[in-house]
Amino acid sequence: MRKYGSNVYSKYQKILDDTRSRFGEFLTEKVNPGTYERDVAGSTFTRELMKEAADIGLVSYAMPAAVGGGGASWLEWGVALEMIGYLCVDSSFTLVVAQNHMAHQLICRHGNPEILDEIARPMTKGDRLCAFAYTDADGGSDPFAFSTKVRKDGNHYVLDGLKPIVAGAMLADTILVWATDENHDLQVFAIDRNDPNVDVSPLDPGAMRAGGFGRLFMSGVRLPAHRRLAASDGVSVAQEFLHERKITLVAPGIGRMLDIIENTCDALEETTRFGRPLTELKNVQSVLGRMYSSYVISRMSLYGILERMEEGLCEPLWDPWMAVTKNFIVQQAIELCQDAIRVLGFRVFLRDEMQVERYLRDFLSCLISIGTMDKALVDIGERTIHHRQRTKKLR
Amino acid sequence: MKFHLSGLLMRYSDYQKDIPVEAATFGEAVKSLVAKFPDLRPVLLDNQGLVREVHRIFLNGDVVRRDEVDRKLTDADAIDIMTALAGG
Repeated sequence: MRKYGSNVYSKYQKILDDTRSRFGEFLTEKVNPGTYERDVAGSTFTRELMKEAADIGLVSYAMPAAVGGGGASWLEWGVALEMIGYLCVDSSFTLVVAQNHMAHQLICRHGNPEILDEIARPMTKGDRLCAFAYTDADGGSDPFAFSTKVRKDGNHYVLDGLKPIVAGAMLADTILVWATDENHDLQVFAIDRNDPNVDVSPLDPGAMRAGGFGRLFMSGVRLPAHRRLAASDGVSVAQEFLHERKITLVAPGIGRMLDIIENTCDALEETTRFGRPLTELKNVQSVLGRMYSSYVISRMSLYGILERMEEGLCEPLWDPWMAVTKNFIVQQAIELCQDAIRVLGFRVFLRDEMQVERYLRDFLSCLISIGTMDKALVDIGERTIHHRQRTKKLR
Repeated sequence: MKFHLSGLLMRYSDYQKDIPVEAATFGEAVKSLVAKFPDLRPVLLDNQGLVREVHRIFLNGDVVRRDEVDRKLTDADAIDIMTALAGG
């Protein structure tokens, strides 16, 4: 295997090396083959593969040790995801793993002991997979406009509604659902796909096509009380969860960026014009320089936010820098793919070869719900104005 | 004093951004605000009557904790309420 490049942040080299050592063979020999075919067919991973990923500790790497997980910190997980993203050419796989981990985090934070035994512990062994259904048919990402409803019925709760897009739904045994009650408060529930009146149907997404995307329809789904994870203020639960998720979403992308650069270099070195490799052309060198710079700056941004998370400096609900970092990295990754397309010529149109267009589609999908990024920037702008108004008076 | 609302909260204030209220304390000001715009109550307040954690309160630019209901206000004070929203 190629040595992972860039000696920036060499203090994390041990995590990178350990991750490669533990998971490299599985990713390159078991996950990578079939990536192109899965993308064409829109089919997802088998349960056997996910179980194998759990057996080697990949799925549970950062799940709490108290419920049988690997207990890795945010920083360790983020760095590990970077290497996993480098080795794994199927971004859908890292998406499914990261989303499953995030759902597990939420269950561990808010679940009662019964839920921990029923769901969290089996998840660490890969015996259960979990997805989360937040985006609503009517509200989109606006939690105050959700039309998915919950009402109490004796000792049970009854859910009705549609969640139009749920990553990993076709793989998940448990789906976390946000629903509005009669007080316009948001509650969070854990439904089982085998619960009566739960209907999960596949979607045909344009990107992350092996991500098991599905649509969740609930018509009078009746749940026992212990399946409620949050009785109130599900918005805050969601915000904390979604902020952290942004980082686990983009961390693998950093590794993918480097793999794209390396493959681009290799292809250009092997292509000659008038007996000379394309890598000797100055315009090509300029593009590669830009690509590599995008990767390094993105990596430094990721590590910066991981270190902030590790040191407890990120406010769970309010930290805008997780969102800004994620948006920045995604934009850099998109531009990097565009640069690769610019220099690689016709071969990028051959989907079973370079696969850069698939990476571009996958990175573009990370812009979904980017309207909330605009909101975050407005907030940052208003806070900047407030801060200046205060400091101007102090001078 | 005056409330400045932004984003989705304006949906519940008839899209009024600047809302004057008469109040001696932060707690009273919030009560006056939701009395003026009843639809805002379930969005702004939790079931204990405190501003939900997902909203951030700024008094003249400084962060105020949601439980500082006895914080005294003057006529010149301005309270901004922003809502954390993450999607994608």
